Amino acid sequence: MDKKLLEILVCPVCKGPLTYRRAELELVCFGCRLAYPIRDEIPVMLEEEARTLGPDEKRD
Amino acid sequence: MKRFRRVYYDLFSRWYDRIIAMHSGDASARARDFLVERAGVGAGGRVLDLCTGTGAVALRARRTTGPDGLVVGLDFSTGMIGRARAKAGQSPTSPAASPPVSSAASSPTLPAAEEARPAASPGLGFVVGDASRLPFGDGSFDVVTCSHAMYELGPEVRGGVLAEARRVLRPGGRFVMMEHTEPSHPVTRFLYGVRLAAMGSAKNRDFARDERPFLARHFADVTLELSSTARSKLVRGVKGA
Repeated sequence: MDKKLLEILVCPVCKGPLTYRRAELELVCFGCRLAYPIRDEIPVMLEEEARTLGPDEKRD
Repeated sequence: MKRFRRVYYDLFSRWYDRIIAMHSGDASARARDFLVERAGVGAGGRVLDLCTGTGAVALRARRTTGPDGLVVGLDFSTGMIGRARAKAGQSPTSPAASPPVSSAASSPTLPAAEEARPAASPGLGFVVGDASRLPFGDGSFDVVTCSHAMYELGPEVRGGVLAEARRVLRPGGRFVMMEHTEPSHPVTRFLYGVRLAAMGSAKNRDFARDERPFLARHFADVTLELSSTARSKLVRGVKGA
């Protein structure tokens, strides 16, 4: 994914910062506890497509 | 409803370029030139193209902004975004295997080179997202474009989309939307009316007659300009300080 694009991406719900989890191919908002998937290199920034973080998933 | 529409556009993405090429051909390429020229963006500029569909405007904008700029195409349909990436040579699975959709059913004058950008296209990215809940930080872009989609959004969503477009623009940045003008031929005029009614409500007609008062709620210096053929209109607004 383009580095410049990654820099401006925020959570669409709270507009807070995202953590890029390269191995999981996810963009994580710890504020909303949502993980947005990156599918075929495309960030899918829809709340309804996001995975809710488990209780044990902590900030990296 | 939104889920249904996403499925609709995912399916529609397979034939979209062919259908558009059949009834507008290179006129739509000229309209995109007009849009990008009037957006006033140069090399190194940052552009967000809302409801990018199969990415035609984003690809055209990328030609102007170049590798040092950033063009982001956003659409809520994964199918449309997949097509857009294939056209940009960014499809991870089949970069060259995708059919030449733009030239399949059209005249040789169609700018095929524009549609088939060389591989990778640095400075061009695509995102699946909701135009009324943009996943970009404040002030991220110089220009936000939206071509032939504002009518489809419907009156209840449109205000939110304009507010979000304003938020992601830098101060002094421009929002530029393009639409067809009301056709003069009675048959196409009837179909145009059906399009407006089907996608929202009767209020859509007010927006289509004159978008300026709606844009003026969010932007300064709102202007409306017709293309040389008068078939397209371009409405622009500036984000005030």
